[in-house]
Amino acid sequence: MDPIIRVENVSKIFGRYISRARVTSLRDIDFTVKKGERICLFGPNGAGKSTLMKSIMGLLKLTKGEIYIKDYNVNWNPLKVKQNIGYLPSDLNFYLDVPCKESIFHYGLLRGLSRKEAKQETERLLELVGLSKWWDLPPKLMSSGMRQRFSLSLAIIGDPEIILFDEPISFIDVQGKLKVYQLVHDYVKDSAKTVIMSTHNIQDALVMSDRLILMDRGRIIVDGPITEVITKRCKSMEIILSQDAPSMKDIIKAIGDEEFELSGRKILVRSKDALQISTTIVNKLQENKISVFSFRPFVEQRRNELVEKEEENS
Amino acid sequence: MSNDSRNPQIKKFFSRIFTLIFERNPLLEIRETSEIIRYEFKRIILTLKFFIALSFVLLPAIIFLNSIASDYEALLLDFGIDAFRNFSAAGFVNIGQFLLQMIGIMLTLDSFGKAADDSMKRYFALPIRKTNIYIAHSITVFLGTILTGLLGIIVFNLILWIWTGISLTFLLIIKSFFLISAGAFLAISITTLFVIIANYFGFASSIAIVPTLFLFYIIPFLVNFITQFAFGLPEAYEWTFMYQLAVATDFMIEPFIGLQLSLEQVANRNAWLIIGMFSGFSQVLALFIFARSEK
Repeated sequence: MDPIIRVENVSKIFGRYISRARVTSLRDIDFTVKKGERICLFGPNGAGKSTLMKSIMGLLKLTKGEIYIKDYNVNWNPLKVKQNIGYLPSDLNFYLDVPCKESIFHYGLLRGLSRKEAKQETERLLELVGLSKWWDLPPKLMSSGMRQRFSLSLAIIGDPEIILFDEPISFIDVQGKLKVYQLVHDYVKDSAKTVIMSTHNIQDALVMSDRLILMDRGRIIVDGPITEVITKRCKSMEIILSQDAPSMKDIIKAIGDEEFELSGRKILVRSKDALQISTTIVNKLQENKISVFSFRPFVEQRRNELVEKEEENS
Repeated sequence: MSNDSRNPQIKKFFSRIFTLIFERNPLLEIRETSEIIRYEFKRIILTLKFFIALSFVLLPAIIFLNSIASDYEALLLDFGIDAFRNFSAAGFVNIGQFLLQMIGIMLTLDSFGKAADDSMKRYFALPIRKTNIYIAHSITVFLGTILTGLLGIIVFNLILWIWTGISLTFLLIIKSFFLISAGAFLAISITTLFVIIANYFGFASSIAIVPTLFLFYIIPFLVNFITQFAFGLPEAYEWTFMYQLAVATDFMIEPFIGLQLSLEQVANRNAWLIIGMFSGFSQVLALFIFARSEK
């Protein structure tokens, strides 16, 4: 089967022209996605997940490389590309004062539906996300979970083939999460939609996807079936902090008595659930405003370093 | 050799231009743009209803106060109720213009400001051209300003008619509207440019109001004050937008307030050129930056 998305050797540097402080957000990213695949981009904050999502969406100009959606180049045929993609951004950027029906109807028309179709879709989607009672009410009166579901309805109107969820459940409680999980799951399972989701929560990744791409500092570190990645390729994980953090030990102790190795700014997690535990650590560190410099499988990292050294030498 | 390597680049360039222009039916572009205008306009009424309602009261109230000012010797402007008796629009041009400029600036900040800039990410994710998004938002701002101005003048006329028995003629209403809109459109264009530059560099869009305020109000005031009282150089005031606006709109005022008697027609034409070129240049540059921006 031909891939529906091709990401070819993509790099993105921010601040190239207007600032001296350049930030390389993506480095030589290369992968393909087949129709119907559910992929999770996984990694800590700053790994490059959102930048990659935006690049696939055609919202950013690539520094290097090309991205194709159904053979359309995202920077050359942006309208054709966007016609095929529904995008749920990480921040809820819709107008809070406008009634729900107005916003969904509006996005339906802009996705090319006729007025009649847009109206029918508005009714169907509000029903689907369990917000039919909110027909005439503005989202400013909703809870954060409801807003997330409303945002989902805006992303999937027009029935796009590819759906990008940028941390779709980042703001909501457990119950709200379950509802959104269920919604996305039900929506995706029958229609063979291609889904790319980004998260820094391994539980979300396990429920929502069947392939995991682990990212760190703008690179793809691991790419494979999710169970294989978790059980075989991420047996030991290495976390490197950006600066010394004395409170790091206390945070790790509070998480449990798993096998950790601490040395300076490095934390090495060796366990059969290494990925899950290290993700919890990273999330806790970031909650405590401790910046994570790198988060990657230990063995894999060594292998990559060796390959890089070999390339440099050659 | 160099030609061989350049040809694919040139082909690519023209193919891209062709795609950009002819990718879709122009009617579809118009449908999209008008749909954004419809939605954004409704949103403005929903979100800014208090401000708009207030401006319907404030605009006529200020205009009316201004028009009767001469009766109380509190001269806000040179012309008061006498001017209206002569069917003149002079009495409320300046203050009305100032208020409509404020409304225009406020609507610009609402449409292109930080909050709107965030919301525009959704538009950017939809299959719509950036140009259409920009044009639709600009038209919404202009429409909002025009409607507020027109309604303000009509309400003012109603008050004037009830109070004094004098009513503006239809032609005078149109002229009045045109006069107060000229400055507002210039202010909108320049503010849009500053807001988009601020967004492009990640600054808060509220900063963008500062250069507009300086260009329109603070600099003319300082220049007028310093040159007239400190150095005796009144000509320097001619370099301000407010002066150019006065010159540009002066010819429409009946009876003439006198400025054009001392000016040649070329000055009036130049004033229109300055206003037109600044507005046009600001809009084109703002559109260019907007289209280049990444969300």
